[in-house]
Amino acid sequence: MDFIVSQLVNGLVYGVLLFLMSAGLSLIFGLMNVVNIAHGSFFMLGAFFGLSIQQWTGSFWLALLIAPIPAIVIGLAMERVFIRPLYARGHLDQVLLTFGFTFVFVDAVRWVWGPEVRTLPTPAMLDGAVEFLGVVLPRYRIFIIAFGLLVALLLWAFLERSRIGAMVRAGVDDAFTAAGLGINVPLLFALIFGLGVGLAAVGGVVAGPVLGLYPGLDIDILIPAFIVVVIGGMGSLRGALVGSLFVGLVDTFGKAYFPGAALFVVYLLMVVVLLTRPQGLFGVGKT
Amino acid sequence: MSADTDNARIPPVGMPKGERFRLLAGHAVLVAALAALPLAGNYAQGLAAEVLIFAIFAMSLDLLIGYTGLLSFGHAAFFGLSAYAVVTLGVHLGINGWLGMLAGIVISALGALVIGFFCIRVSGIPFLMLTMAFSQLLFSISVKWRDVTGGTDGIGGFQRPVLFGWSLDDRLVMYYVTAAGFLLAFWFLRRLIGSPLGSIFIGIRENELRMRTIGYPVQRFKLIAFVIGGAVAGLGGALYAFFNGFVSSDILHWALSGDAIIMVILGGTGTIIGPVIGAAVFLLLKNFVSSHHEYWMLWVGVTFILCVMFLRQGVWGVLSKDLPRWLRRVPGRRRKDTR
Repeated sequence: MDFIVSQLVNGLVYGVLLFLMSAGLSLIFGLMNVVNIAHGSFFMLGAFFGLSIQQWTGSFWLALLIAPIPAIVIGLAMERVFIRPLYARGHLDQVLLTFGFTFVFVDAVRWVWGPEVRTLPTPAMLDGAVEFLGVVLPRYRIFIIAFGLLVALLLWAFLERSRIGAMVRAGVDDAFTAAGLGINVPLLFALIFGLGVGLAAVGGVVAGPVLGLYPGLDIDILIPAFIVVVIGGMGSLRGALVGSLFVGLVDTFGKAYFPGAALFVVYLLMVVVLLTRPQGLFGVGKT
Repeated sequence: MSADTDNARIPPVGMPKGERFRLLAGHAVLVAALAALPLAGNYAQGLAAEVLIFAIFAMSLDLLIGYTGLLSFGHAAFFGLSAYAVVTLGVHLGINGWLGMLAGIVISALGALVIGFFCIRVSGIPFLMLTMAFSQLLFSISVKWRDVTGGTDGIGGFQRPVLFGWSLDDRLVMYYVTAAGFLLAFWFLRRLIGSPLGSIFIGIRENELRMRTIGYPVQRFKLIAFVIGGAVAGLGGALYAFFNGFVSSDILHWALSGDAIIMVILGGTGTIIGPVIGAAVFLLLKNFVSSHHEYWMLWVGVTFILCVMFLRQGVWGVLSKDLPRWLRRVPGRRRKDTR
C-alpha cells in the first residue's frame, strides 16, 4: 500500500510537470499550427534562470516568480523577430526555425552554466515529509501536484471564462474567420506563445529540486511531452491534462512493476491510442 | 514547401541532346573527382569518406522530406540500426562485415516498416513528433541494453571485412568502398525520382488529397518511401560502422537526426545533390568551428536559422539558379539595354 501511494505521488508529480510543458505545446499548435521544438529549451532555460536567481537571492519563491520573465522575453523576441516573418511561408519553415534554436539554447546553457548536473535546493518551507494515511510523503512533491493542478484550473478559467480566452478558442477553431471578425490574431499568437513559453519555464523551476538540471534536459522533457500531446490530442487543454497525468502514472508504475519493459509501456500506450484514435483522445481532428 | 522545391529536374525522358550531354559530363566529373580525391592527402581523404557517408544518409532523408513531403525527425534510427547490426553481428557472432551490411540494410528497412506503419497514421507535425519519439525509444534501448550494445561506451573491436584481398583497414580501400556506396545510392535515388514511383512520391508531396482522389493508396506509397529511405540510410550506417569500426549509442541520438536535417536544408531540399553539398558544408563547418570554439553547435544553429530565413533554396539552389541568373545578368546584357 505504501509503495502504491508513493508511486502514485511520483506519477502525479511527473504528470504535472509534463502538463506544464504540454499545455503550451498543445495551445501553440492548436492556434498557430506550429510545433515549437524549442519548447523543451524554455523548460531548461527556466530551470537555469531559477538556479541563478536562487543563488543570488537565496529564495526559491523569488526564483519561481522571476525566472519565467527572461524566458518569456526571449520567447516573445523569438516569435516576433524570427517566426512571425515566416507566417507567409508555411509551417514547415517555422518548425525548422524553432529546431535551429534548440541547438543555440543548449550550447548557450552549456556555455553559461557549464555541462555538469546541478540541482535547485528544495525551499526550506517545503523540506521534509508529511504522513498521510500512514504513508510518508515528501512535502515538496505534494506542493508540485497542488501547484500544477492550480495552474491547470487557472488556465481553464482563463480559456473558458475570460474574453481573451474566448478569442483564443475562436482562433484555435479557425484563425482565418477569427481574424475576419476583428480579432487581432497576430497579437493572440504572441500572447499564447508567451504564455506557453512561460508555463514551460515555470515547469522548469518547479522541476528543479526534483529533476537534475543539465544541458540536454530540454530533449529529455520534450519527447515525453510530444507523446502526451499525441495521446491527448493536439490543441486541447483537457487532452494535455489527461494525457500528462496518464503518461506520468503509466510511466512511473511501468518502471516500478516492469523495470525491464519500462521504456516500452508509454510507447505501447501511444501506439494503442494511435491505432484506435489517430487524432488523440481529445483531439479536434485537424491536421 | 512545394514552392521551394524544384520540379524541373524530374524526368530525363526525351531530354534535349545538349542537356543530356551536360548531365553525362556532370556525372563523369563527379566520378573523376571522387577517384582523384585521395591525391589531396590523408586528411582530405578521411574527411571525404565521412562526408560521403553522411551524404548517403542526408540523401535518403531528402527522399522523405524533399520528395515525399514526410518531415521525419528521427532518421538516425535507421542509420543507427544498421550500424549496430553490422558491429554487433560482427563482434558477438563473428559474422562477416559484408553479410552484416546486408543484414543491416534489411534490418533498417524492417525498422522503417514497423515505425513507419505507426507514424504514417498521422501527417504533418504529429508525424514529426512521432518519428522523433520512436527514434528516441531506440536510443534509450541502446543505452539500457548494455550486454549487446555496450551502452554509451559503445562496442569496439569490429573486424573490418576484406574486398578481393584488400582489407578495409587500409584507409584508401575504405575510401573507395565508401565512394562506390555513395555513387550507388546517388544513382539509385536519381533513377527512383525519375521513375513513375518517384512521380507518385512527388504527387503526394504536392497534393496528397488530389492523389487520394485520383485513387492512389497514398498511405501505402508513403510507407514505401519511408522504407526505401530507411534502407538507403541503412547503407550509410553500415559504411559508417566500417569506417569507425566502433558504434555507440550516440549514433541513435536525436542530434544525429538533427544533423541530417541541417544537411538537407543547408544543401537544398528536393534535389538529391543538394544534401550531398549540405553534408560537405556541415562537416567542414563542424571541423573548422570545433577546432576554434568549444560551443560549435551554437554556430551551427545560428547558421541553420539564417539559412532557413534567408537561404531557403540551400547552397545548391544558389549555385544552380541564382548564381547563373546573376552571371547572365551582368555586363553584356546591360550594355545591350542601354544601347
